[in-house]
Amino acid sequence: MESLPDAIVQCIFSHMNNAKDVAICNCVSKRWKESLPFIRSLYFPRNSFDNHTGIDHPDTIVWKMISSIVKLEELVVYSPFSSAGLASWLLLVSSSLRHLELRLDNLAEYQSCIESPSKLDCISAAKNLESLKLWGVLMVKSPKWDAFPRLQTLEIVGARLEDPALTAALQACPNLKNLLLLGCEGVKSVSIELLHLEQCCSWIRVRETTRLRNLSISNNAGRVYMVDFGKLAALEFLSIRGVQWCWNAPSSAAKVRHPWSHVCCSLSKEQPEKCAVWVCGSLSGGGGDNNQVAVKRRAEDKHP
Amino acid sequence: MSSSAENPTLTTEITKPSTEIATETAQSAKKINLKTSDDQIFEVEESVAMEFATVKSFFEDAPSSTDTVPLPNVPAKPFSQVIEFCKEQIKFKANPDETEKKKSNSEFVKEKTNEDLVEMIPVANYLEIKDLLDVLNQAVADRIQNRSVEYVRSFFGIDNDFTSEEEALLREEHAWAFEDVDED
Repeated sequence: MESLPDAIVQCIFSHMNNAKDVAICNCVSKRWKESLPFIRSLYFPRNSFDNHTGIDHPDTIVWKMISSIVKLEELVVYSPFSSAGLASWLLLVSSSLRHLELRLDNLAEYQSCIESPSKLDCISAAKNLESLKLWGVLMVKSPKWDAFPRLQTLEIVGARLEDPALTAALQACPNLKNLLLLGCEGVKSVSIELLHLEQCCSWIRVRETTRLRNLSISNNAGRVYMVDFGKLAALEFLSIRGVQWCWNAPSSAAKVRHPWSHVCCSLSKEQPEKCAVWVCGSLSGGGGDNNQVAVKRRAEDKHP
Repeated sequence: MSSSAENPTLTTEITKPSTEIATETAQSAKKINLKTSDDQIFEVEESVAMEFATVKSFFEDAPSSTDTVPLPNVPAKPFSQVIEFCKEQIKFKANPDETEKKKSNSEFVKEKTNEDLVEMIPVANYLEIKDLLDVLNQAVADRIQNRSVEYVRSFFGIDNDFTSEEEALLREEHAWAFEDVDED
């Protein structure tokens, strides 16, 4: 067979997001090498540099890969990196980057948080982000974020947060539609202009908001005694996950008036029944047509 | 199932789509002859042939020209597999079900050899069948995951056109990626 057209090689590249495979294909032939600049997405898995013995620092390797791409739209880095590295990458792709996902893993390193600029601060350079997903975040002081006017999705998984820092972070995301906070510790009370999210010890309260469409609440440690929702006019998706929910005070949830189209709860094994009652109770109180109510038991709960 | 007795409208609902299918088959009975580069003639139902954007525009440009459409860049072997794919796709046009479609697509690529996939790509490209092209590109990208440069070359039948110096330099530059790839 004669060689594949350039456009096809580029297509194959675009279906191949693991940076390692991209790097290997870059060495296949001249034509393949010339197609590399046109890929849109790069993904560095956690173990990307585990066995790396070369002279180049992983930060430099990522930088070299990014620098050969014309218009990178999505960058996912699960392998370890430094804030200086991140700053140098984002300098290259700040205008084209739409989706960024990073495993910061700096929960234990208080030092790295007070260094300046921190990894979080560096993200500010990627002004056109539409989605930002962060794993293992230590956010005890406000990140120096100007604004992400296009940011619609913010996910923070596994974090230690301070209220003012989270407030400041959310203020930089004025058009946020989807917010996911999973396994976040340290938040006591946060109220923001558009979405009023309040976590008070074991008390979660979401007040009136017109912008919030997807809401996920999770509790991994400690008990949640009260879930209180105000009128969430635009809410389309509600997910409640956790292992130690306590449904003693569900009556307040009946305040939800808007018909939800999708409600998803995953709970530990002794609770689905209670939860179902709670969900159905609050939904029928809402009077909407709720076609999809799924109460799922988390897989890991089956193996205590 | 027990509700069917309580619900008399259910019977009418069942008969309705079946008549639609009958009319559809009657309409699509028209066949089109397509001639491959190795001079084989395929008699294909019009609805299937219209999945090939290239063939479709051929008829739009010259509605009543020939009985047989020549496909000079398309060999018979991959073409028969492309037809197989499009026949499946048409079913989902009438009755869209993304999960079933995905399942059917992955079944389709699963039973194909590497060679089959690589041969179908230029055919799908020439005939402009976007769905198939996506499916094939994803399938080959999956199959060369964590493989060596040599494996990728033989997979696609690509000649190495780098000089040994150029290749050595590239391999040095991307040394990190060559650590522990799967055995060929």
